Amino acid sequence: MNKITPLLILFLVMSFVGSLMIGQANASFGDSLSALFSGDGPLGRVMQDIRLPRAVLGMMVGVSLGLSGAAMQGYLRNPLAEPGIIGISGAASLGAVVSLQTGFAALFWLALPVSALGAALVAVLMILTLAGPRGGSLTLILAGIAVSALASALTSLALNLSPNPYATYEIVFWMMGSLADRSMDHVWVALPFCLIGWAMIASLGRALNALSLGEDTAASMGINLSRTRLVLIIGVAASVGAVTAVSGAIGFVGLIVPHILRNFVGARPSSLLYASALGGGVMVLIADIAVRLILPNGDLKLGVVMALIGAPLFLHLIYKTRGGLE
Amino acid sequence: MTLLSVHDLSVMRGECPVVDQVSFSVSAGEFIGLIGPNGAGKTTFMRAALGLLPHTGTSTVSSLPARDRARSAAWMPQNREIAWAMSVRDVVALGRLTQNNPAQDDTAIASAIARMGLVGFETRSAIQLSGGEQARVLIARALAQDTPLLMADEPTASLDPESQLATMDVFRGLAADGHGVVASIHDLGLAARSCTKLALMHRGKLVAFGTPSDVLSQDNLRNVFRINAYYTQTEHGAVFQPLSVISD
Repeated sequence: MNKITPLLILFLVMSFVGSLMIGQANASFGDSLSALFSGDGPLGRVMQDIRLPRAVLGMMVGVSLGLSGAAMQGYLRNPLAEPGIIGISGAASLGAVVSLQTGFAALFWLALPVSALGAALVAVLMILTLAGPRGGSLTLILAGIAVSALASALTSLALNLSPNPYATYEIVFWMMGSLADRSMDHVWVALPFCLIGWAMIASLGRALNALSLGEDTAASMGINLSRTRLVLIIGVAASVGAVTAVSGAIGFVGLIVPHILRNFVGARPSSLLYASALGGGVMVLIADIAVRLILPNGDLKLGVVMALIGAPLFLHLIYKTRGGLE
Repeated sequence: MTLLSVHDLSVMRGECPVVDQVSFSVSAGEFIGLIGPNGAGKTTFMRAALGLLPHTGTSTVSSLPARDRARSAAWMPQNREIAWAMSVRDVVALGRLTQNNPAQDDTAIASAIARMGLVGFETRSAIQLSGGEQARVLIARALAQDTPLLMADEPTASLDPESQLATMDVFRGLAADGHGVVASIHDLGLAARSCTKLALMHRGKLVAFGTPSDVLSQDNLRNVFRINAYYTQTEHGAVFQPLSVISD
């Protein structure tokens, strides 16, 4: 455990509680807390049915993206890598878009997340087939780019063929990413996949450390590279696919959080995994609080806020990287 | 004690044999220099012998389970990659990933750091060191793995003369301590004065194996390296000087 870990845990708890307490229903901290546990009255329903799932999902989204980002950067030995690089989030988005476009999502509440998860699964199979059983990190990137490009093209096609403007609006808004109007059902759908994905990624610390010295050296130290890649792909797909299925595409978390925390916990990939999981949770919860504070009566999307925060940080990262190379 | 024994080891690239039925063994106390022109198959042979490449034939190391393999042989590839700004100590400590004896980690890491002359560098960022210093860090990482056998691909490439000699002295010391060392070396003079034996590869085949003076014969130098060279033993050790290229 790093020195910063207790601090990150504290921030995560604070931002989780903050996410529970901030919203349109104006109530004191004590009233909100007792309503959360009792579930009595309108405030109880607000706390249990609206804010609790939103806060839990925010944490799950952040942990999944932060952890996956750190793992992808460690595996690819590149600080500019992020979970979306292997095309899972793009494919999950495609699944959701198709279910919205065809009206399948309206049949029952589970239809949209299941479609997204199904598309993420197809993407995993495609990536594994394209990258081959013995391929290295380069083939994984190439396979990811191919799957991302295909998912993006098919998403555009689905938008292009939208039956009416309302369907288009719905798709576009969904793609912006949001935690609003989610229920505990969404939590229960995503949680098992997240837990499996987190456990798989967390098991890779030793392999990612060894990969810091390249694939050949890692293999000579007893690391099974094929197994590492398989566990990574399935772990990232399970967790990122699940959270994308319930929240839409939320970018930059997996890119920025490991980069920021590397300055505090050191460059060893295994140390960065846990810190980035916690840091990702903090970042998404704070961004989701910001969404509610900036436009309390509007419908500002979390994905938009994350992009507005993430893009300048990304530019800063590129600037710093360029400085290091020159 | 034999630390590595390969028999009829071949590696194919398409229809072309890159390593062609090489048989070879390394015993404790030996420092074997693997020499040959560019493209002779030295790196491919070492990677295959370690189980890092698919091959035919047998290798006593590659046939082991991955974890046992990592405890039998350390590998230092030519590509000196250090991906992150880790401290020198953290990089060297990666060599201990394969060991199940945390109580000895600190001693092994400190010993490897001292052996490669890196005392005082422990907290410095490895990627900010010079190429030669990074090479020493990576050799120290391999030493920390504390395996009976060390295989290194051009460990002295891009090192200054002092570091080259110091590295060869470390490998000789390891051999004297009962380890086995195999290193591909392009500097034939350095190989001749440091190695207990040389293995000469040409077009994927092992064409000569023995003492430096046997392997660096005028015939081998002409037929394999296509050079005329001056080679002699002096009181300071072997001296080798390439003189001219043999043109057809």
